[in-house]
Amino acid sequence: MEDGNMDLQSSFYHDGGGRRGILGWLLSFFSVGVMMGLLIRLNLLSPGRFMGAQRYNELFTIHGIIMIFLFIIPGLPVAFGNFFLPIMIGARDVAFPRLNRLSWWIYLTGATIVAFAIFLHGTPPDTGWTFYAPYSIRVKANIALAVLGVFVLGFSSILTGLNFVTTIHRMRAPGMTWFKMPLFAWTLYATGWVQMLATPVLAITLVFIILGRIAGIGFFDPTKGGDPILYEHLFWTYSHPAVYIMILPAMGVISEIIPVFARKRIYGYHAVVFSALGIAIVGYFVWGHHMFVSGMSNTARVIFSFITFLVAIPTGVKIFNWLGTLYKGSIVADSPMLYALSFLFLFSIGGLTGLIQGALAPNLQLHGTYWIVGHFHYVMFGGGGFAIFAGLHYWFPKMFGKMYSERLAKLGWFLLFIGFNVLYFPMFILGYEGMPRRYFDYPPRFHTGNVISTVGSWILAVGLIIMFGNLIRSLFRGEKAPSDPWGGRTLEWTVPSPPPSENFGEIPVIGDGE
Amino acid sequence: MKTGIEEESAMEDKREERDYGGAKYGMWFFLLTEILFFGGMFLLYSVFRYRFPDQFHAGASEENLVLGSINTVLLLTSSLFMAAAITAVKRGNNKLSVILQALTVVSGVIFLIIKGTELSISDFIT
Repeated sequence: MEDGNMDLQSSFYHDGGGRRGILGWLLSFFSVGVMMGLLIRLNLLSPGRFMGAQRYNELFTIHGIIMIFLFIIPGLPVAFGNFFLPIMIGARDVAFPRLNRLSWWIYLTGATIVAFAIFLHGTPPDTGWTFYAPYSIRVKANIALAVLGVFVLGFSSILTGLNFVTTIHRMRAPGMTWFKMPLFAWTLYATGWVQMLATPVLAITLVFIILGRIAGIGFFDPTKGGDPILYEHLFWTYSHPAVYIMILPAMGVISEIIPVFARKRIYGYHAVVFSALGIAIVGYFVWGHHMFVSGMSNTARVIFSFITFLVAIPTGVKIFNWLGTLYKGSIVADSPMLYALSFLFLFSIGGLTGLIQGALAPNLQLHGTYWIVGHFHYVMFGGGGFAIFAGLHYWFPKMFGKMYSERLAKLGWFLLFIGFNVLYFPMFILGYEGMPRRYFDYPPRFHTGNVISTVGSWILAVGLIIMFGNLIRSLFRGEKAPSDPWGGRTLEWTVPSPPPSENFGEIPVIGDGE
Repeated sequence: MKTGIEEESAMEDKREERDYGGAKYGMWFFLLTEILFFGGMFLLYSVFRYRFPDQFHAGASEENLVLGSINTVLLLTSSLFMAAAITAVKRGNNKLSVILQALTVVSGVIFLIIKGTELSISDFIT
């Protein structure tokens, strides 16, 4: 047992099996989250017919917790970063392989605790994924467990960030200077810093939710002189940077894919690097825009709104550079590129609607409505999610050594893209017209929009089934993948598919050419 | 356990030399995250201490002075044991280091026992 266990662990990352297993886990959690999302939409098709109000509240809460903490935040760094960061910078492994393993087990522990919070006797959490006080302190649901799970997941995230930052500082191959690093590595670097600097603040805030429940510490409880607004501040101090934990690696993936499929070098490499760092830094100071209507001085609101607009600048730089890369490129519309291009489209809508609600006057109208739900799904799913799918199709042949059916991949993408827009675009209109989010029911005038949106969710689900079905099928029936199916220029395409244990026979030396 | 360590060191030998500089990076980064973690707590504490100074004083006067003092001593001494254990390893005296580390663990456990007693006396957990 002891020996067998040890063997399993020491080969956990080296043979690639563990690294691929992680991807399977994350996508499984994603599938669970999707099913809950479908149920949420099903209720809104005909409120009350399929579930009660309490069940609805539990569903959107758990949907949020799973999608954010179990899927998007760890998605790109843990599933793809672990695999490709070392290869891309010419290293055999990350700086702390055992710490990496530990952070994975911590992640699974956190996921298990969250599962307990859902299934253990008592009520599943129904506070929304934000756990706003004082409701989260008073309500009789399994909040303490759910919060503990998120707390544990946070430490997994911190350790991953720490590991990646150290890896990039210490493990680059000879000649791999900072400004020769692939852009995915750069965005993981920026993300690693955000993970280290923001997550601990969330962790301690969650501790005080737990202590508020079991020990009666009233820091966030107004009946004991506490301050719920303070909770919102501390929560968003983490959770806004967390948006950049989700989106920065996504931008990195897109920056890898677009040059390869446009057959050009990335336009303005340095600008893309510095805009990533800029987003990471400025993103730290915008959290107040989540709280414009919570009670805040006008001065603070103006400042937070202004800094929010500043984030648009480095983001715009990136979009401009991607378009510049596409300009006069020889564009090959293979499935990874289709996902990358839809990222550009969807993320731009998500980003620009973010500016509308980041302005003070429209925010009064839009706060707490379906507009917000539409916006963050365009950013997190249309941005983060589509980038994960882009990376999945781009790197799948490398990770598994098998090619998938391009025809089915395109069909899946098409349905996913159409379904996505039919599902989420009506939310902007519904929200603008005043339909509040998180409500179980709505007045009849919102019915049409909700029907369209729910039909969209079914189209999207079919697209997802085709996409996953295609990939799973190719594991068994796919042709063997060559080492470089797309014509990529980064180091991962120089090693066989799948990469051998410890990635390289000889550590590569990077010359001046590329 | 022993075989595990041997296996690991064999594995380590096969690879390049160990990167102590990298380990230091990792440690400092970890300490940075700890500062932010506890920084958040002290921020909360100071906000409320500033808002309710009298209540905090009243609360502090109910503390058990003896148990609190013993715990402070234990906390500092266990740190001292740990620091000494590291010095012992540096000087090649592994046996002494193991003893000192064991003492660190023991003082940690006693600390927790006293803390538990304190909390149960004061009805902290409701």
